[in-house]
Amino acid sequence: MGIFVLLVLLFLLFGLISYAFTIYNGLIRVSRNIEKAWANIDVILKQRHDEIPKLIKICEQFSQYERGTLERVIELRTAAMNATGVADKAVKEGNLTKALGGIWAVGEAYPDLKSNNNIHQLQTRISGLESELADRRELYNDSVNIYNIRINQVPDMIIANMLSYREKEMFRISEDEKKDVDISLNLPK
Amino acid sequence: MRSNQDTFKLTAYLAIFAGIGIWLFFDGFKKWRRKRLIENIPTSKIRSMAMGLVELYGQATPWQFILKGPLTGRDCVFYKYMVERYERRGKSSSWVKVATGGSYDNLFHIDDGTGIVLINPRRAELNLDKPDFSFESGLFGGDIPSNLVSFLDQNDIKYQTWFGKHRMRFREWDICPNDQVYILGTVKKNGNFVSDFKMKLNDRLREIKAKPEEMKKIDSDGDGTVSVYEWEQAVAKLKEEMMEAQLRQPEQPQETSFVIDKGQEETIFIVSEKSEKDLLQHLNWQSLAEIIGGALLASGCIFGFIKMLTTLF
Repeated sequence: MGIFVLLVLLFLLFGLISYAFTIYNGLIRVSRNIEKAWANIDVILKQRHDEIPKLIKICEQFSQYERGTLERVIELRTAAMNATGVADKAVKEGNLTKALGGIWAVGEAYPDLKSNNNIHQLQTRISGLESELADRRELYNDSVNIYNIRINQVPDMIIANMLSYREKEMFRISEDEKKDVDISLNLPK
Repeated sequence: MRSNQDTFKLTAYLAIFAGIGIWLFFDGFKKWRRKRLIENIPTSKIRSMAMGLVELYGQATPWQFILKGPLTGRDCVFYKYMVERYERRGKSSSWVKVATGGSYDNLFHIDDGTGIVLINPRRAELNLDKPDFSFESGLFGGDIPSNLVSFLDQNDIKYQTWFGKHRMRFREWDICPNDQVYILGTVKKNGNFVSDFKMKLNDRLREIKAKPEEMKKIDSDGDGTVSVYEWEQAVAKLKEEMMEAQLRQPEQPQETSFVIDKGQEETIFIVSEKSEKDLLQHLNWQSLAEIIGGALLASGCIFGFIKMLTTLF
């Protein structure tokens, strides 16, 4: 009977080692998933930043746009490009989204602007990028959520502590961004 | 007192069952790792999915055309089937596979409301619930319906005996349009431009070499032989022409420019009719049962083997 118990213990030991390895590999994967999701957000942000100068160039041809509105967008784009960290980036990108919303709002109010083909194409492109950005932000947050749950769960917690894994922050939308764009603010006087 | 033959038999059984136990133990861990992997990957939206391993959930839709299930004639985007015949072999009887197949070469789409992407089921691990169609003829089942008889005839499958008909079992699994499908696989570009281009170029060069009139056109100095310089010039010109033709073609629509397939690094590729939750639940129980059952079975068999050795010597 002693041999049987010994054999079971051997299997148990092997099982425990495999279990620990699987947990370790799983934690590495969830951690890398976050990095990948973040890098994929950056790809879309870069594409959006690249479209803004084109938008400004077209808008400058129309007198309806106040110089200040366009300068604000340029300023916010630069700030967003220089942002570091998730929270900082979330705030600055949110401000840029809001400012872009202001440009679209002006376009909606003026038929000659609205009918401009280039503006229309850029709006479609930037709106598409923003939808993709929203999806990727959601995926990033899902990845962070999975990671945060894993590192707080037993037994993953033990290995996560050994790896000094700490909770990561989500890409949260600012309260300002959740509000509707105030069209009247951007209309020329 | 056991005879040598009995001892040999018992040893063989113990070795086989110990092997099965060890296999179950490792397979259980494999399933458990798979369960963890599925849990660790968040669901992507098709519109914004990135290259690499992704998890998707959406409705199946046909790509180029709707398929018909070979046994049922039902509209589907993917099917697989199995036909078995009950055969007697010596003292025992069993079901023997006489025909299997599936639409593994037909790609289909899945649509999650944000976009559409192609699925290549060829190398997928299919998890298709219970059969959508199941029919058994013979003893307790009815007679074979005419559509199944014509399927058997078309495929030269013997179902009649001297005294009547064999018992036959038919099963078909379908993914029908609008069925919800869970996918875990790798996003790839549909077709590699460079390799496609090289392949087309090589085909065209082979064609030229095979036709003397085409070779004559290449022979610019008309001396009857194609020099290395003339050949290189011809290849360069052909490349240019093909590139121009390629650029004139309209860009591939997004829904066909990417395909979900088995990856080279991430070899997991699941196409399932079960939801993620059901799949995880299934894997959980299966892995637990296999790990515990396998360990106990292997331990018991090895223990029995050692015990037997100690009684023998």
